[in-house]
Amino acid sequence: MKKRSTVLILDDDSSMREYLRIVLDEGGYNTLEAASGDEALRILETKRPDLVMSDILMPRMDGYEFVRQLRSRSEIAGTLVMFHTATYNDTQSLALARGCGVSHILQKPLRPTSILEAVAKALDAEKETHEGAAESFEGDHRNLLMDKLYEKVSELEASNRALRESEARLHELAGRLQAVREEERTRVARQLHDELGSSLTALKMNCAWTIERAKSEDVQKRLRSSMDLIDETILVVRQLSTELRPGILDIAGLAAAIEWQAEEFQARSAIQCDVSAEGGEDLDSTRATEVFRVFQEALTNIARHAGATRIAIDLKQQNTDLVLNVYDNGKGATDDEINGRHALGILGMRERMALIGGSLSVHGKPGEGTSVMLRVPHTIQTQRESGAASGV
Amino acid sequence: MGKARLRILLVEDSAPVCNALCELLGEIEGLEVSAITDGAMQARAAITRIRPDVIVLDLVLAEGSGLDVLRSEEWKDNRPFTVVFSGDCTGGIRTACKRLGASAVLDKASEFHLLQAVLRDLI
Repeated sequence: MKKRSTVLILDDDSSMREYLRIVLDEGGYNTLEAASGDEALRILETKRPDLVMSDILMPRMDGYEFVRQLRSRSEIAGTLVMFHTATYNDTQSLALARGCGVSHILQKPLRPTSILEAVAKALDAEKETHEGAAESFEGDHRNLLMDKLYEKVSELEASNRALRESEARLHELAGRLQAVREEERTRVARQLHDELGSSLTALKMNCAWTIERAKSEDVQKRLRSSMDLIDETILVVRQLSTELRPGILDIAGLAAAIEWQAEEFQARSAIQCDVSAEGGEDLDSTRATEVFRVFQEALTNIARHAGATRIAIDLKQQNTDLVLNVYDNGKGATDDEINGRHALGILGMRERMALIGGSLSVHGKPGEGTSVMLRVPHTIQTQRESGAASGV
Repeated sequence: MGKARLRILLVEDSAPVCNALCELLGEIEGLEVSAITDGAMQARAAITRIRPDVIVLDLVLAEGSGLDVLRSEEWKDNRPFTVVFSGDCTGGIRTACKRLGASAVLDKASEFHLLQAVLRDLI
């Protein structure tokens, strides 16, 4: 005996549901009833009718929305659906119905014969319709996913662009801050050196001149004591001024400044420094300053972390590049110390080099020390210069 | 009539130092400060103009630096006795100045008595 097909009748109008139920019962079909899309979806969770006959115009959830939700649930997505309607009969509504995999639409008023014929036809074509609908659904689904994917990719690209722009702005800002800081240090150092230092020197000379003329030994003694005090003050002023910006960098250039800094470091740390420094005479003040600051930072790192007893420092011209190598014989920096999140000192050195179009490489070997190499091209336009040119 | 006076060109950009130095150098018989300039270009022009016997040269100047004056080519073969007299006499700077032909390098604050001694010897 042929299995009786089951039809779920979905309509908010109870009299229409009853009418359809009677007609379908008479036609030899089992029937289920739902008064809303929600109720129909609940029924479909447990029962699998062969066909759903759905009204289109219903409150809260209309027929299209019901089918959309049904198609979104994989376990019931392939359910065969037929619309019956008195309202939607235009081309657009039919296209919309087909778009969600409903190819059978029964127009009201509904005569029993036409209902049964339509149901039989729909069920006969079930396989084909289902596959067509499924294919169409899969296609639509794929298109929808592709659209969403494209949307997301575009969003990601826009975010990446914004991130890159933000990163570039941060570099510019860091460069500007560095430049402002250096300008400020230079200005304060000059004032200390030129104004305060010169006045103190003149004061000391005046004391010396007065001592020559002072007849009283007490006065001479007092003046000598004042000169000693002036000497101590001059020493402090010079120290402060040099810490802010070593005058030798402006007066004698980078090579002399590196030699001087190495001597100072050796005297302070008792780490022997072997220096060979040549070149860099035509390096502008900005680049010379950045190289010198990176060199100072390299020495500070050695004093703090390396446990070295000897450093080799080599500044030389290599074709058009100026190259500074600093090798120490300490314990050797680890990868984490060089590239880790806490390696802020080295990050700062890299930033300084990037600002003048240069590069920095640091390598450590356990037990064999660390090498720091920085390279500055003579001709490249620096970030700071290009920033200044564009009015940043 | 006494012998010819030693003519000094003082290159110094600090007015208080200049005044105090003139007072100190004025103490020395047979010496005169012939000109005072505060920049490198002015100094070079003054050297050509007055042909001083001695230059007392500061390094940090209002324009240019004392090293620019030392590097000057015009008087390279007939260089006056040049004393660098500066507050920046670190080892590196002393070496650089000597390399460029400075006759002496003295610290402004602690070695001005040596400047007086050097100049006295030249008279």
